[in-house]
Amino acid sequence: MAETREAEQSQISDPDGEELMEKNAPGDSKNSMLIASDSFENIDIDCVEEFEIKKHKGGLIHQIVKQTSKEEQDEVAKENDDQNSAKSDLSIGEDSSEDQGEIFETKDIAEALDETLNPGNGPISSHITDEDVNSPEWRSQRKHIFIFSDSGKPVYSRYGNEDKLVTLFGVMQALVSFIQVSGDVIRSIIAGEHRFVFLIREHLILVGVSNGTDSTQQVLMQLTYLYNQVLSVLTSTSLQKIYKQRRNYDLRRQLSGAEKFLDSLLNMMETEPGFLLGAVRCLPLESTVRDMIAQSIVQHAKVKDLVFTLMIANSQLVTLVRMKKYYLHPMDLHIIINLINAAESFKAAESWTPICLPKFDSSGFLQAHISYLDEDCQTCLILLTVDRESFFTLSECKNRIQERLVKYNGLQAISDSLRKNSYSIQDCKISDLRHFLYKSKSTAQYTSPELEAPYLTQPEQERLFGLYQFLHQRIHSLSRPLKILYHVGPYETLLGWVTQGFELYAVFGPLVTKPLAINAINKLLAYIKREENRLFILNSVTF
Amino acid sequence: MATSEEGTFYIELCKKPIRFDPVSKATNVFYDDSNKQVFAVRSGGAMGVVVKGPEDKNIISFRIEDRGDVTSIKFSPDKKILAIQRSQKSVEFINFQEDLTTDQLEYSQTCKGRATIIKGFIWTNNSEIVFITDHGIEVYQVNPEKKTLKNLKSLNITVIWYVWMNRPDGGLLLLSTGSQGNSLQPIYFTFGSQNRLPKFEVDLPSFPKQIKQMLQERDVSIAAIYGQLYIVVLRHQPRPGATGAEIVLYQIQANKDSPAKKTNILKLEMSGRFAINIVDNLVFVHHQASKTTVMFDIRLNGESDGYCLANYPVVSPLPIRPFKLLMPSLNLQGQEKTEYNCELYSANWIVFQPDVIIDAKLGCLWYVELKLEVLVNMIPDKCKLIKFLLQRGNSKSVILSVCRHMLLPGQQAPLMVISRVYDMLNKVYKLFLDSEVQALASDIYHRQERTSRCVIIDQSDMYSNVFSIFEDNKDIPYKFRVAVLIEYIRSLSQQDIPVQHYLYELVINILVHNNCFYQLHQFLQYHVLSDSKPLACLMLSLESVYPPAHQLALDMLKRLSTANEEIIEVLLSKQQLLPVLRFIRSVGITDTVSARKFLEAAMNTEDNRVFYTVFKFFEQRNSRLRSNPRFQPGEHCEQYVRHFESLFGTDALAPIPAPT
Repeated sequence: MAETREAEQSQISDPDGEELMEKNAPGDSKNSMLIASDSFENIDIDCVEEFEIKKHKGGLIHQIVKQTSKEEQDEVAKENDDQNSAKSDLSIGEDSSEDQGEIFETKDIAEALDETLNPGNGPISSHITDEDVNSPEWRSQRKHIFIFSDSGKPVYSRYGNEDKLVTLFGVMQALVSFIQVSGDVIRSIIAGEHRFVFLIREHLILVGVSNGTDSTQQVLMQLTYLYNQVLSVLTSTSLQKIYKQRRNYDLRRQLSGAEKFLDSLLNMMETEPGFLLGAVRCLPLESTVRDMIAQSIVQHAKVKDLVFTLMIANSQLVTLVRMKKYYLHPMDLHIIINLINAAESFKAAESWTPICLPKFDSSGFLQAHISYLDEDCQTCLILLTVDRESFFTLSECKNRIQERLVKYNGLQAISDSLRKNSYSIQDCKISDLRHFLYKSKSTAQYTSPELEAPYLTQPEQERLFGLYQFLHQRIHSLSRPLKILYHVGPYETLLGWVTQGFELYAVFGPLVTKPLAINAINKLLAYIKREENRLFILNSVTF
Repeated sequence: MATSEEGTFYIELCKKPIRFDPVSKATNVFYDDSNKQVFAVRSGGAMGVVVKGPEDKNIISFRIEDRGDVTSIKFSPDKKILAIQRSQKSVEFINFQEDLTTDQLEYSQTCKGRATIIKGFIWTNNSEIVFITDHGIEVYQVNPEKKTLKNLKSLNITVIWYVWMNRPDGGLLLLSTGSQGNSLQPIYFTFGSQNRLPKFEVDLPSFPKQIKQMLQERDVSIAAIYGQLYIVVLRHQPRPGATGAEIVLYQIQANKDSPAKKTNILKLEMSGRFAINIVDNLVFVHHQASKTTVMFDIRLNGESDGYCLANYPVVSPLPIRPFKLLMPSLNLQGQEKTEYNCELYSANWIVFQPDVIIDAKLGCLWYVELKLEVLVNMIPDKCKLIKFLLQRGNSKSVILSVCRHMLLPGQQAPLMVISRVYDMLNKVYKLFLDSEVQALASDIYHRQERTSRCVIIDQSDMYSNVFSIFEDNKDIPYKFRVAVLIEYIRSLSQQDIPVQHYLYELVINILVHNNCFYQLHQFLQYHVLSDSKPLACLMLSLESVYPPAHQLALDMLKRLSTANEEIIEVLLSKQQLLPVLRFIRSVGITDTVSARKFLEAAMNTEDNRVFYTVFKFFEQRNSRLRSNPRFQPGEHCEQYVRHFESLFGTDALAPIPAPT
């Protein structure tokens, strides 16, 4: 009947009787350790800035190093050659140092790790199959990602063998350069159900082809992540240097072994709303326990040049201690999480690996000391430093922290929290509310309950993620950003609400009414406010 | 007579005239127009008096003593007292029993004053008689037991002549006074009282160098037309130089204080001897010289000059249909009868109001009748025709036939004309419906006279008599059929008459048979066809040929707001679980519906998401009603609970709140 349309969309301008109470955003913090990120709206601009940063050669890492260890600098440079396992092009932002002529022969860490993991496997990753453009399987993939150099050399394809797709890469490169000739930039092509999104960076072109629920903006965000993932392995400095020397260089040689990071990043982005929101999820912990863990780190890891210390459990942030003045961007944090998720080898032993955090400083590497604190390999401690020599110092720190956490039951609390399955939507005691995502903007953290009935099966969970993508995209639409969106779909009602302090995406049963939904949202905010100390890290701890 | 000529006579004399003894030397014939009785008095009554009424049964036969020539003879309205006038001074009375036998004892009443002459008498009710004398009127109360009369009232006024008209509640007496007899005094008798209405003057034509002619009795009559009383005055020569005669109608005003008003002038455009009849609110003027009759309808063809309407004949003057009388043959032996062609417009004719023609020589009394069927072909303008027919008493079948013919191919009337005709029909129909409502409100008072007045063409008449030709005659293009029906519906709606659903059904069927679904859709969407349950059901049945009909039907049911059950069933049959739940919530029957029905339908969709939603909906309802989300055993929902658990696990069931 006309009165009950299948889907209705409206912006709540004057909700009758009920009003959304825009109080202080729960989980708000003036003192955050992550850079508050809004959403992906400004990705493009971000990237432009990035190039500018690169131009003034000296990044943050350079700055830190300069401040702390001027006298050691020469030594560091000298030792570069000796360290083969850690990559030699840790040039600390100085690409003028031409002392490593053979950079291309140095073994990539990723490759090295890969070899230790799958000894039988060659450098060619397992995902390369014989699928090509003509295979129906290949064609029916929901999302394709292609990376190639601006001369059209294939770098990465999510599905299929790049060599077999070489003509396709050629076409894409032709499209890009054809548009570029007229002084314009190709952004996206929409053909039927498919959208082709182009991200053009210096030397590299990334293309995403999706027939799923993601919007152009969302695909662009994913491409940016992938680009950052590439940088985290290479740094922008070396990327530039490579192409400066040989325009036609096959970057796969540098990246072989890193494909799995790209793969795992892609898979993560399809299920993890943190990427969508530009926020990380924290492990729910009592604030006293969290403080204790943070204090343990502060007291036992007072090491010069230690920039960030993170503890991550099951992709959730336990705590982060940072050097005063320096902040971690959620995008970089996601890269770190992806690193430890993708590489099983860290579970075997303490590791020492260079990593570039593109948002922090894309021009150089930080050194990461990665280790698991418990036997189940759930709690991971990451120490990030600019000092390439401090492995053993940090290893000691790690032991002291571990000791202390065992003593004060810190690890126990973490594994308890992991076992407890976060929290259930029923804890909120709001009928008809099925699921929600709540992001505190100031802390760049988000929280959401467990996936429960009716989202028990894989397809249903994917559908739910699609709903969030839809809601997010509608609200952050560039042409018409919304503050509130109430959408009645065939199976659920969605409500998205963005304020200065938070973003909230809620999924209700389809029969909920507007006043009921608003009431539920207000109750939910009260619930989050009550739980905010547990769900969020509100205090930023510094060395 | 050739059948082709049949069509040219629209005025007839009734088939069975009342026969009486013709006037002869021995026989006098009287007609009492109050009781509509013909008196044949043989030899002053000694040889017998035969009285015939409008019904053949009422033949009264009796004898009276012959005491001279009878000048007037009339029964009282209840036929119990017979009044006979034989002299200019007195009136005699004879009482009648129930069995119409007389006691033969006459009693008499003389008028007052020695020089007074009784011009006539009238019965104003069963026991009240009024003598009209040249000096005025005298009202007497008759007491048949005592055989005496008592003078109730007298009125002194010089009377030249008088005209009386009997009315159900009394009657109107019109007295002519003044030197020219043109000053008329109407007096209305009702229930034993007399109302003197204001005197008025009839303007006489003035001719230079000539004495004004007196207003003659024969030129004046009283007529009831369309429920109003009129004084009908025939003017032979209205103005110097004018040729045609005319008839002037003076309307007696409802307001007792205002004099009768000249309202209509009927243009005869002929001269000579005229006689007037009123049939079915029409004025019939018989013209002897041309042997034709003209018909006027004062509501038709009027031209106003600011004061009164000038009316022209409805159709051209035409003669009365020849009348044949079967007479016992004089020449032939036996009982053979021969046909005798009556002379029409003969000098022997006497015309009485309202519709009586008597041929005294022939011994016939006819009623004048109007043949509408014939007239139909004489008025080509359909609007005028319908307007005319609607005013007639017995025109229903004629109107229906006219309407039917307007739709036939070949005789098709333009849509605009059809539309105006329907408007006229429905205006009358609406007035009737309103009066019905009023009558119901104020009991049955006034009812009979209202319903008898006008011709009602209602929707079922139209459906079964007019629109039925769509079925019989397949040559009519469907567009025209739809247009005609829509015009009719439009006309009904304009008069705020609820349209019967069979008309809609007809429209829909025509549209469906011709695949005009889009037009149908528009009609429904813009409420040209108004909502009803049968119509909604019809739409539902059309879903297979036109899918949007389903939604149209649902919308209609919703607007009706009395069809909640139907809506639920329709939606459930379509597995529209979410809409149906929204619907029951919106109409506030969530707490009363049976959960089982909905859960069953949800399970049948085999869509777990839908089943989850429906299940949760009823869990919430249970919580609200009983503060426990579980279903009660009486609801028989166990299998659905099991199904839910198998899909989503027991944890997904709403927790039972801890008892407080």
